[in-house]
Amino acid sequence: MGFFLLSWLDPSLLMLTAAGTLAGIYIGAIPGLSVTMAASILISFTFAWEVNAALALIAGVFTGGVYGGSRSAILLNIPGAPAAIASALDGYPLARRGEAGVAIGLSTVMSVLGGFIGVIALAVAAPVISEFALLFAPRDYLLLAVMGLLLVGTLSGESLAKGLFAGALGIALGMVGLDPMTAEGRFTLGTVQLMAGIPYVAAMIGFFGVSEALVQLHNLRVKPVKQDVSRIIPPWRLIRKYLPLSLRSSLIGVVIGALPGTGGDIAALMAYDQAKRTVKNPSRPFGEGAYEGLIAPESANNAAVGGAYVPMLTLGIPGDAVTAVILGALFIHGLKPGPMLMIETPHLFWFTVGNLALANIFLLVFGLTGIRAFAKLVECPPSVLIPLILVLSVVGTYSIQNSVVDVYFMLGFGIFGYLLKMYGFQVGPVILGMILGPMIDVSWRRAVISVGDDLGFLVEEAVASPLTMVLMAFMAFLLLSQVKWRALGRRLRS
Amino acid sequence: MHDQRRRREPGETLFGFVLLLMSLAVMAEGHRLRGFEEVSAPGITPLAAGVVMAISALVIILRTRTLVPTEAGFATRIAPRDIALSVLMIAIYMALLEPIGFHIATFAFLSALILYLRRGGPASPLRGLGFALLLALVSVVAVHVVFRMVFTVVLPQGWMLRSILPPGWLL
Repeated sequence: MGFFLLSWLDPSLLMLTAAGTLAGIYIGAIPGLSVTMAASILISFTFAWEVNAALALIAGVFTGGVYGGSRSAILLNIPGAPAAIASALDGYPLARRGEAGVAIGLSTVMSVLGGFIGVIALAVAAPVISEFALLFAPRDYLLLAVMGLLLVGTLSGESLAKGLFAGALGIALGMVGLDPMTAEGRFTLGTVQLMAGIPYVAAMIGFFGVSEALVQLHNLRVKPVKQDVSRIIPPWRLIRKYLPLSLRSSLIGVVIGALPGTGGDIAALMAYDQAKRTVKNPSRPFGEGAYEGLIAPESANNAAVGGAYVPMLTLGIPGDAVTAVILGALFIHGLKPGPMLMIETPHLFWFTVGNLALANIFLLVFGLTGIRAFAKLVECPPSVLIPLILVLSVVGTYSIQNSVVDVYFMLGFGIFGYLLKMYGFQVGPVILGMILGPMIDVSWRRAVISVGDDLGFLVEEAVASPLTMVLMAFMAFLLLSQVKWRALGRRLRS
Repeated sequence: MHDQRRRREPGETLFGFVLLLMSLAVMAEGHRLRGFEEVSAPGITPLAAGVVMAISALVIILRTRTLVPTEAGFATRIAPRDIALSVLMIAIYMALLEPIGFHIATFAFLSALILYLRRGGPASPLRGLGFALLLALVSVVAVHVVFRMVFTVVLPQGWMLRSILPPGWLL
């Protein structure tokens, strides 16, 4: 309980969580900034901090950012984050009817409710899963890492081939440096700089920060839409009326968010789809400003935050692109997300649970205040925003090792990421591959070495292990579900 | 930037071939590290990644070739002047970071890029310049306060300045 309340009672952690949540709301809301970009830049500034402080800030940004994406979806019809795609479907029509204030207020309250459900799910489910995961053999870890790679399916956009390429490229990039088992150089080109591997943060900032800033340069002449926002606190009768829908959608969000290979965007789209199918008499037809069409995705995407932490903390596999980056942050801080995390550092787990709960309280406070200043900031032109993002990217990368070489790496990844994006690739799978590649490599080699390089014996052992068979069945389920989710995502996004 | 577009972007096929070459290079490294010989060799994962990359790159090339090309050229669609000049400015900024230090380099970079990106706006050229300089100054001060003083990040001080200014003058 003490660790749960740590960030509530420690003034500096309290401030960092508040600052992170506030910053996250703005980052999520400003078109051109993404939570993934912000989290990757933040890692570079916080890597030397004490781990709790770094996690408090990043968790605040994550929680605030997922919610903040709905702000620009409602006000500008531009989802600030993928998780807010479904929120734009009815949020923007509400704003066009002059109900932007009520829409933002409702989305805030329901997001917080969803967030709390996610936190409760994390607190209840994670210890159970973690205990179970202690029984895992190297081959099981291999299966887990491959399950994490299934996220490529949902992160790859419209072309699976491009997603697969990007994921495999990430794995290859993750192999750069000295082999941890034999100390042989891989892809080092004989240079000392590459022996320690590709600077992970430089790659993240390049792929997510610089490349996105360059893509946004194409939208320099887009004029922001101004919105008049007045009353924001929603009437109690609306909250009471839509509470059951919010709870139902939150549960969808938790479950979908916890599955490796999904995330807030799929959770929100599924909750929207579910609301559309089950709500008999919506306040207005869906797509024309129905409250239900805003409440369902908003509850689900914030509930998915807690859900996404479950596989990340207990199994060491990310639930979505942002948790992939947070996973990287945990590694940078010397932690090992996975079943041992709960045994070696249980205080960290309970701190994270408490911290996410606190971030949701701040979300309620900041979400319902300062809306006028917020509306102005969302209109910040890209000609000002992009240079600032670039400077932050440079400072962030340089500060890791005080090395300009890292900054050049970042620019190289940024330009390459820009080309990938322009040719229809997504950069998320590259980072995912970089994170999971080393885990796949080591788990596979340990598994085959343990059976004397005899693949037949490995298969026999796997078939004889109920645990491995359960994991394989779960993986097959996820693989088949990918096809369904991709189709659903395409249908709803269109 | 999804693949929903029906047209082939300029340079897309060539890019596909570059990716294929990268895949072959990854496979070659896997081969060098005995990926073909032992299932537990250091080259096994690079080899597997290279194979997936190569097959995907081939599929991507074949699909790209079926698309109708856009009429616009590479310089218009992929590397328009705004992008090319911004990248050039970032490269110069990075090159100047260590010689002249973070503060001067960042001030110059921000002023130049903001001024360039806001060109043709409603403000007069003089007001535009004033705005860019002011914003750059405020940003440098803000970054210094937040990152140097609060986060204690060591920012490049500039070896050229170090040889000119007395030690106490450096930030």
